[in-house]
Amino acid sequence: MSIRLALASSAVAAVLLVGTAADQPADHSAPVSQTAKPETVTYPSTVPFPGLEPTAPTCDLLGSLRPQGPLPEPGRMPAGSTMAGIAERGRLIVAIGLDTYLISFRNPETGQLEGFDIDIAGDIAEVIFGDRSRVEYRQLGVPGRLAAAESGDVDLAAGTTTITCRRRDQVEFSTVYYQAGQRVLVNRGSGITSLDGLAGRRVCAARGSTSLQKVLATPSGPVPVGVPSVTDCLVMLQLGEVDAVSTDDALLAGLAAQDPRTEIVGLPLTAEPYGIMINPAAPDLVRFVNAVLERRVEDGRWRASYQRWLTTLGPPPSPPEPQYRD
Amino acid sequence: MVLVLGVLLSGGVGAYAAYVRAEATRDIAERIEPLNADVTTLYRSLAAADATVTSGFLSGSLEPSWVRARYDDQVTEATARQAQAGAQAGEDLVTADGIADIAAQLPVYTGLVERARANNRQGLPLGVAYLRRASELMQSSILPEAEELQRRQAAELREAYRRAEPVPVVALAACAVSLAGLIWAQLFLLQRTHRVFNIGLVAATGAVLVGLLWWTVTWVISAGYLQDSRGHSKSVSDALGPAQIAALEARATESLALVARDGGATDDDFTAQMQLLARNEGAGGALGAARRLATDQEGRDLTDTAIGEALGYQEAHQEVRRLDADGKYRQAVEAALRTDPASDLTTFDRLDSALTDAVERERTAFMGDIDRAQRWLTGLAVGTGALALAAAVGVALGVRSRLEEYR
Repeated sequence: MSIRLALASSAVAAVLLVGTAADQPADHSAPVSQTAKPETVTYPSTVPFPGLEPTAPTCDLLGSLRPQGPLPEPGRMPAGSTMAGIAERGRLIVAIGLDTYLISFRNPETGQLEGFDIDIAGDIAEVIFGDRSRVEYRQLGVPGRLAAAESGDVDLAAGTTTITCRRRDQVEFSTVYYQAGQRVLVNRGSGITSLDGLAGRRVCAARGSTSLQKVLATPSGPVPVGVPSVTDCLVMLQLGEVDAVSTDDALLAGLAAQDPRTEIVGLPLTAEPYGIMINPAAPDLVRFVNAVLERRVEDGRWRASYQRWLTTLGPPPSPPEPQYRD
Repeated sequence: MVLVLGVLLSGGVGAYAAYVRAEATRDIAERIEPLNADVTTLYRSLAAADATVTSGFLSGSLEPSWVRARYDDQVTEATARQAQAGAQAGEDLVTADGIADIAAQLPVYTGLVERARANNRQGLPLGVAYLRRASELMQSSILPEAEELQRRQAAELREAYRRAEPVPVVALAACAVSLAGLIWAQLFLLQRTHRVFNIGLVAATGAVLVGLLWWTVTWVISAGYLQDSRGHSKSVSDALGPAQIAALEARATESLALVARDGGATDDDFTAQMQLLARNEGAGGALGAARRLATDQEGRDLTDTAIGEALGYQEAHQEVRRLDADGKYRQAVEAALRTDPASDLTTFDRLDSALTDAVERERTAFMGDIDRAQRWLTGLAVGTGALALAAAVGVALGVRSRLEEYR
């Protein structure tokens, strides 16, 4: 019986592996480094990680649209603007990631979504309506969020989304609101300190993610295991089915917070600048969102939000410096 | 001499045919059906436990106590049935192996469910990840194994019917030949001796006629009951049983799709499972098949009730689904938890009990028919044999008294 189960699960793993090669979403510009020297990078750090960029991006990756003028008062959106349309509708529609603890997750007590990314949506709603609860969330996976932002089905799409040139072909990105990096989560006392120390061991990441590709590309040869959602990785780690989880630190923080017997180790292996996806046909909304992002850094809300959710990763780093292409 | 042998032979063949049918019927009633009932109930309670525990997560971090109690009952039922089926499987090693497999996986499943609950109670999304993992184990490993067991029992049942049903042409032919022989012998003696009656031969003819009559009447009547019972068992194994499972799996998927947003169960899966249950407004799918397979009005009525409930449940689900698609998650969950007569929860419970009623009724009818067939067949083999023996003795005596006259 146990042999049969083991066979079944390795068959599943094999299928997952094949699957990742086939339905890898467009994320080629995300730095996948084999020659990186992470030791030279101090972490946490500011945007970007210069030492981690093996190839120059093929586009202006981080440059967004500069805010114009001061932010309007709540309820006084410029006539004819995208924001005025949202105000008239009465709610901001935001596509958000699936349940990821501390980033965007449903608090079972209240039934409300909470987290680091949800704070941003609330701040934007507060500027438009003077009421941070007037947000309608649609929980979607990465491809669904990308499509929803591109078609304008939603006003904004957030949720641990790395800015990439390929995605930029479809949607506009806000400035960077968080600089993530891929790290490794292991059981405490495992002695593992990096991805390199996981030769031949099983390492879990979300199916179709750049994290899984990075695991696959690691020279020491860890065995990548893809699952539908990153929380499934923690299940597998607890059940002893994988030896480590490797993905963005923001996601790992959510896992580590659910299991005090785990720890995040190693230095960032990649640079994952997170941005908010917006319909490219609404440049006014992009400028508006960037202005809100700037203000929440200035008035300390960014830092407060980090302290509320992500302290597992250490003290708050300096917020990402906005870059504009005007 | 030939006549004695002929009578004995026809009696023997008839008695053997009766014996085979009686044995096959007894096999169905005493061995196959009880195991089949255990396997079916095991299958159903496993699927039901999964549907129950996933629906409990809709209420957030505090699982309602009735959900817990119901889940406990269903797991207890599954454990009991699995133990009983294991004991009954006996020499059927494949079945015993399948049951042992389920027995080994069930604690893994319940273990995952407990971890899911422990984490969920702390408000951690990890709870739902464990729930999804448990449900996947159930739906993609344990339930298919149970389904395989059930398919095996259905095949056993078919095989038993195949043994019980054929008309023994040889027995009838032998009987006809013996009768013809007896009449010929009496005519022959009538010509030779000018005595009208030979008591031995007349008695033998009488015995053969009585035997033939008894045998034929019993055979036809028991065949009717066997056929009826087969119809009832077929509608359970081919239609109502799968309908129950499809409904429960759809229910588990519905809950899981609401509580676990990150991959796994989706509304498309729900729709696919409901299609298996009742396609085209109940004309197709398992319930459509049940409607066609029903052998009497009561069966059709109960199936119609279930079809009506399935459509009601689908409608209630659509409302939950619409709210969820509009981003009104909390209202969707509230709608899923409401207990008014048209709500998602109530309509599903009604569908489940309508299906249970239909299955119970078919099973009772099946057992009744098998019982009646068995009762009609009682003593047939022995009786036919005894009558043949009596006829043979009659022939021997009758012929001997004539032979003595010639000495």
